[in-house]
Amino acid sequence: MPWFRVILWIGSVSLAILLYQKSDNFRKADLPTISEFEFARRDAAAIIHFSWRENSLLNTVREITIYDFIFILFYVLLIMNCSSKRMNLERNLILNNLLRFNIALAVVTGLLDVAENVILIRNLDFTDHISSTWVTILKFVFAGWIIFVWAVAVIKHRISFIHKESPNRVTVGATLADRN
Amino acid sequence: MILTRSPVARPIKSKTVEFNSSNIARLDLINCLLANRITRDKLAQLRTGVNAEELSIIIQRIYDLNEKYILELSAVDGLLRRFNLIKNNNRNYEFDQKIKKGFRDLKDTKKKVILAEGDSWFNYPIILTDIIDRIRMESDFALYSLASGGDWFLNMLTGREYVEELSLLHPDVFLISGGGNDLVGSRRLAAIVDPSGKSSEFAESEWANELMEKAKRRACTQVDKKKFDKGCEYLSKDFFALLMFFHLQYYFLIDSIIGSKDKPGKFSNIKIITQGYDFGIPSHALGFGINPLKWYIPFIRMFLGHGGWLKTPLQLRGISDKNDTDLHRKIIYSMIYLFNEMMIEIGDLFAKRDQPNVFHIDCRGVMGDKGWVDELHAKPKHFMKIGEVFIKCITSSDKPTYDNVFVVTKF
Repeated sequence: MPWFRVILWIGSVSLAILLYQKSDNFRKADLPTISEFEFARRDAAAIIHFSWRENSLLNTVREITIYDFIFILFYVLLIMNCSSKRMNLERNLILNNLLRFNIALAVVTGLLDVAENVILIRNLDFTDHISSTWVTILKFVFAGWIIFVWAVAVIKHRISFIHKESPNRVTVGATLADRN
Repeated sequence: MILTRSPVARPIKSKTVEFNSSNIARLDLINCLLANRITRDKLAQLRTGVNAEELSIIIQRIYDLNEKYILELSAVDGLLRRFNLIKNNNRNYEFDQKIKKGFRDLKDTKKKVILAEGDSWFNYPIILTDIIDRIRMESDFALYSLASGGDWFLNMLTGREYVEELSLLHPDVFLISGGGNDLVGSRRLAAIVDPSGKSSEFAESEWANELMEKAKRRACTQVDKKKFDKGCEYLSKDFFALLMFFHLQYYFLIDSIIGSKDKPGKFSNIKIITQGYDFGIPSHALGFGINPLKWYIPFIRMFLGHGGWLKTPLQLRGISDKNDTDLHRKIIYSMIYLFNEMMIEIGDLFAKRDQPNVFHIDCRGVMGDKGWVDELHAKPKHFMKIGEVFIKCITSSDKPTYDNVFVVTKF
């Protein structure tokens, strides 16, 4: 496997694990996570913010956000790389175009994630909260779409591969039977 | 053909090539070629036994630059080189994987090992699915790629990377795409047009006229004569000299691979497939539209050299399209038409030597008006269509349109 993609996979998976472990502090304290804060409307977000401050978790939130910036860089490059690779294996023109669209969508998703983090950091220091709900929803919709297109392309490729391989197996079987 | 590149090299003192009395005659032939006053017989004479040194002299004289500077100019460097490498590494990694899994089976004639050398029609390193990408999708093919976006044919020949890979891989098929960057890279187009619009160089070229006579006799690829004649009025003698230079280069390359009938080369049975581009559209338009799936068109046009290959060089020489909005397109039409005919003739020459190994994929007219990403590169749909015709040629599943030529629009 080309080294660049290996690095991107290792980096993305490691950072995802790290972010999950850091978020464990919220789950252990039975407090809303950062995702819940991002989805929350203005009033609910103020309550979550207050609960974090009460439990001295604001620095943990800042730390997670910084790791998240690095994670964004890795996953955007990974999506671009994997979509590009898959695109160049895809002979169906619609899927080929959608995988190409994934490259642009990865950048947009990353930018939305950056915007979401900037709003989060800003909200930690101010009491008049700006809602990032729509940014977060849009980000997840785009990310979901990217994964959906990618999964369809991979599954289609596997099916066509199995389909292509099966006549060979029959041929080999038949040859052996003939010999017997 | 090219992405974008800014050569930073400075001219270096030229190497002098000394001629003795035995090759004075050949120097005369070269002079005739450079003046576009060479007869067909003399061109054939020059072609026989043409060598690397003679090719070097010709190109130095056409470009008015010394060899070192031309090679520096034609070299692919910077970010483009890195992107080319990444794409080729991915392709060649998969080639290695296939070989390790026992792909090569000499008894299985369906399985083909392919070597590809070429420019951005074969390796467009980002965003686009190019011709080679489509060919690689076939599970019966293992393709090793040396192609680089932005590479000049001259650079491919002097770099000779393909020689080493031919010896190592012993491929069944060799794909080559080159010449586009030599024509329009680094604004070279400006140097091979005649802005007066009164050029009679086409009429002076016995060879080019014969190429067109052959083309006219073919029912399946009709030339738009008005368009062609108008375009030719702007082609200078240097264009015809360059075209003949390509002719010699391709002949030299193929001859060195397959050898002659009497003295077959190491790869006398290899299938060689060439292509000759489509009529690009000179333009500065950025191509913004409402279809989000075509996001890449304005992106590529803004950042990857669009306008700088065809439109700017023509404007640089003061060729205005105010009175005739299609004038720039007509000039490119004539150039690409002749380039393809030159390539087709190469196949003919080898077929006449009883070596029908050389095939040409004729892409003229495939893209139409709306099939372009930028001035030179096709939308993935069309690159894939061309790739499918290459596959037909490789597998011999379909017969050529005529002789050894596959006309893409006929499939």
